Amino acid sequence: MSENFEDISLRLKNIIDCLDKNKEYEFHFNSASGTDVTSRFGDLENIQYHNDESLTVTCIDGKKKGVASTNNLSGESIDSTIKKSETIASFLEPDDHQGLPCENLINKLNIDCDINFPKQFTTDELINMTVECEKSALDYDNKIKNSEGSEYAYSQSNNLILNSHGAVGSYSSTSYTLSCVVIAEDNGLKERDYAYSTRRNFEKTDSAKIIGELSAEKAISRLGAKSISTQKCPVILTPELSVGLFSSFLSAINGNNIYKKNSFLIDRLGEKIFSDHINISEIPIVEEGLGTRPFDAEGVKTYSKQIISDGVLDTYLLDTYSAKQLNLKSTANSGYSNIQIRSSKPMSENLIESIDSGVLITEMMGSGANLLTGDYSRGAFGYLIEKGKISHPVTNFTIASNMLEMFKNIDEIGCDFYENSKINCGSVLIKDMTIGGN
Amino acid sequence: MNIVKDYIFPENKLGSDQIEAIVSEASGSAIDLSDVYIQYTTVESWTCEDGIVKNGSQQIDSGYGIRAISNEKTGFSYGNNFDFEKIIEAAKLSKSIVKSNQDRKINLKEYNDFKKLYISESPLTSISDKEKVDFLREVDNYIKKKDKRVQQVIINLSSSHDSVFVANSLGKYCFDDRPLVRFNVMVILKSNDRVERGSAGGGGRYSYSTILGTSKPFELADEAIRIANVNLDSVPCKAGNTTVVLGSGWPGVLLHEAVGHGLEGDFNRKKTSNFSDQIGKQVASELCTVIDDGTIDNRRGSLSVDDEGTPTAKNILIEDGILKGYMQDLMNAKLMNVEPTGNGRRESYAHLPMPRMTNTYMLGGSSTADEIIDSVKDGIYAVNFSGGQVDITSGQFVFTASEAYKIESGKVTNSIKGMTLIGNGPDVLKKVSMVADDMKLDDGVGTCGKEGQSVPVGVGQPTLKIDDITVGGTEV
Repeated sequence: MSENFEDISLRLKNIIDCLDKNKEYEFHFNSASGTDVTSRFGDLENIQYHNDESLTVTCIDGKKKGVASTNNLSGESIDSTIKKSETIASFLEPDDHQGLPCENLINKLNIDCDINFPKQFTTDELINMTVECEKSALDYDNKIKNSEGSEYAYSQSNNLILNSHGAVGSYSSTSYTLSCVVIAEDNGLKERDYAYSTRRNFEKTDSAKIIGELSAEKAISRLGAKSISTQKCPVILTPELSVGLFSSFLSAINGNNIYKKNSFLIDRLGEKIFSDHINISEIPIVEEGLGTRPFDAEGVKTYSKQIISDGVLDTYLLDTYSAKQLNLKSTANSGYSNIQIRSSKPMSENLIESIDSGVLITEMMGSGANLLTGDYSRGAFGYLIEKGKISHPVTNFTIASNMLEMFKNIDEIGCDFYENSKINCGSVLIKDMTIGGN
Repeated sequence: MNIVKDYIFPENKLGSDQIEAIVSEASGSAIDLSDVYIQYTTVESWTCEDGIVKNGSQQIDSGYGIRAISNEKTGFSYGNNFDFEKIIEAAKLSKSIVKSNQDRKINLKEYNDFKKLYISESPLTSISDKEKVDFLREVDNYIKKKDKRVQQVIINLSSSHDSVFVANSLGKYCFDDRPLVRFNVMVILKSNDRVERGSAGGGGRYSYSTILGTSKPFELADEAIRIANVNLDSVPCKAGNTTVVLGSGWPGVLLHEAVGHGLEGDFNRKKTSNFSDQIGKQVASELCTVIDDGTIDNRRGSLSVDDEGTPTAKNILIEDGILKGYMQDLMNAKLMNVEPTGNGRRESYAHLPMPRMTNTYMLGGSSTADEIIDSVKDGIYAVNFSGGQVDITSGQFVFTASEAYKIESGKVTNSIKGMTLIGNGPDVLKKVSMVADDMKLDDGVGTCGKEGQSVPVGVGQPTLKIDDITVGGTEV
């Protein structure tokens, strides 16, 4: 980068202040830099240096919206990007719901929200860290025969929003990920698994040793998987997979899917979607939170809110456009921040103990979550549960239901919270799903 | 014109001396291969929704990526500031994977002895923006007149133009210009409280005129309505093992997932694939011949040269069930001591190349589609899929049908919903018991993801029968 983030912010602020007052403009500027290091079998395999920046200009001219973006921040390029957004707008058709946000706008640059923890490492330190991580996996058991390596990824990003109604906001953040992928082999069968840790603050990532050992333990535990017969039974999703299920829920209540009628949750405000004990909330500012942000992607100030109260849907997630379409107000949800999923029942550390016969699902594959109908059908890998204990790994089966059924059938949520996502939840016990096996 | 050659180079005072200096800087006695990739891409997208052409966007992205390879090590850095000194710094950074290195001077020669598979002009400027908007509105009107149950229509027209330059320490450089057009229709139909979606699309490496002004967009609109209509009557799918007949064309995504990824050179060099060390062995039923072909004119997955400057090729992966070879980029070909196959691809200058598929398909057989359906007492006929995924180590793959039917006593009956197929790549290919003579490529809609990088691809296959595969659904 030839210019630092603060300088570019001020330069863009001056440009937007001088544009045609009869039109609305929004500038979104992002820059990110970082390093990725991968080591395999004790030696550096790959080192990548990242450095990205991009400016997106939105112009709304008489209810017509044009968008243009560039990664060239020269004055000339910015001018032509603005012109392109104006030209595109001029060819579109008016849409009464277009418009940039004018209320609850952010008005502060360089907001500190405890998510920016830059830390410099030398290349050798990074190589050593990844080598140690992989070594702890390779040394874990002699069934670990192959490796895809251990990877360290660091990124420092800066995010700026400006609009012609006065929104001015920026913040910076860091992200550190350490991961390991290994392959266990036994009797000619191979199984791959991984472990990783993602944090804002490097000091809080799991140690290289823990990540390496966990990846090895997971890969080995998959060996010797058997088939499973077709049946209906209770299913436990690991915290990681529960995050995926709740992220489908959050897509289904996204205003843009609601007004397009592309959701199984249209016209459901105020209705019971989950069982009584479930509460879901959004908390924008959490120290070191992976989803933390002081304003949304349109520059509207974020605020804490309840999304599900005792199973009832309190709100959709609305940006300015979808809110206008639905005759509602923006909920500062052009995107979402930190999401907390909690149960009012006692949240146990081990949901398996309460299951007489069922399946613990640890991996799902394929894109079988249909947002329009709620139909859910995905390939899975997991472990058979018998009398409250894990019996053996099972593979080559599918799990199916409808998301509305699944949400109502969540009997328990564990307190084994997942820390690698902005959606914070534990394991989920769904009392009845269809297993498709043989 | 190639924007890298005609705009980026003169604008930034980058002549052949500077380019040679950059490649030389990334090279040396301890570096096996280095390359410089320079790219200028424009992308546009126009969307009609609620009967209003309300979204239009254009994106310009340009930059360079410099890679240095020493044995199994790769150093990579990229940037978008074309200042010569900055690029030299990036080259030094990439080369820093080796500790001691003697300078090497690389002399470059242009290489252009490859077949051009598509036009070099940009689709974006081939017609006016007004024509694009009018076209979208015309298709929207057509759909709304055609079916009263339409609840939502979203039509998208998009295109991109990619000007690329690649030079490497083997002393070669070349330019390529890549157009790509894509058209897509999605409709939601509502009838008696049920809503279902149907979508269809097409595209390829050509100009807008290949689609606009033809009957193709209206045929795709009809197809989207037809699929939504079929799904309105669908019944739940019974879970368990059964016989599955896959339709021709897009269901080739099965091959892409079940076989294609496992045959990429990097996974086989590292022996993390289920197909590692299997060359010359029977990995599929003898009815199966699978090809990856990047040389088909105007196809979405085609490239005149790959992203490392190797001309693409028609590569036989599996012949009569026997594994013949893997797909390779320069690095993996060298490490495995085989020839590169023209499969070195990258999403952009900011990504590292790796072995990727182009257009992957299975050759036709001797049965007919009718004979295949007739032969099934009780099974499923899967015509369209919405996507898939594979674990290349265990070979496990999954994909989800967007249009499927029951087969009862040799007849196609009710449509079924929410069907997922799951299986193990090699196992399933061994269970292919009939292959029809109706090989068809898809309409040009595929995008493949690998290690976070997306590239356009093509798939294809004839109608074929798989004996005994696991099907997921809600009914027991």
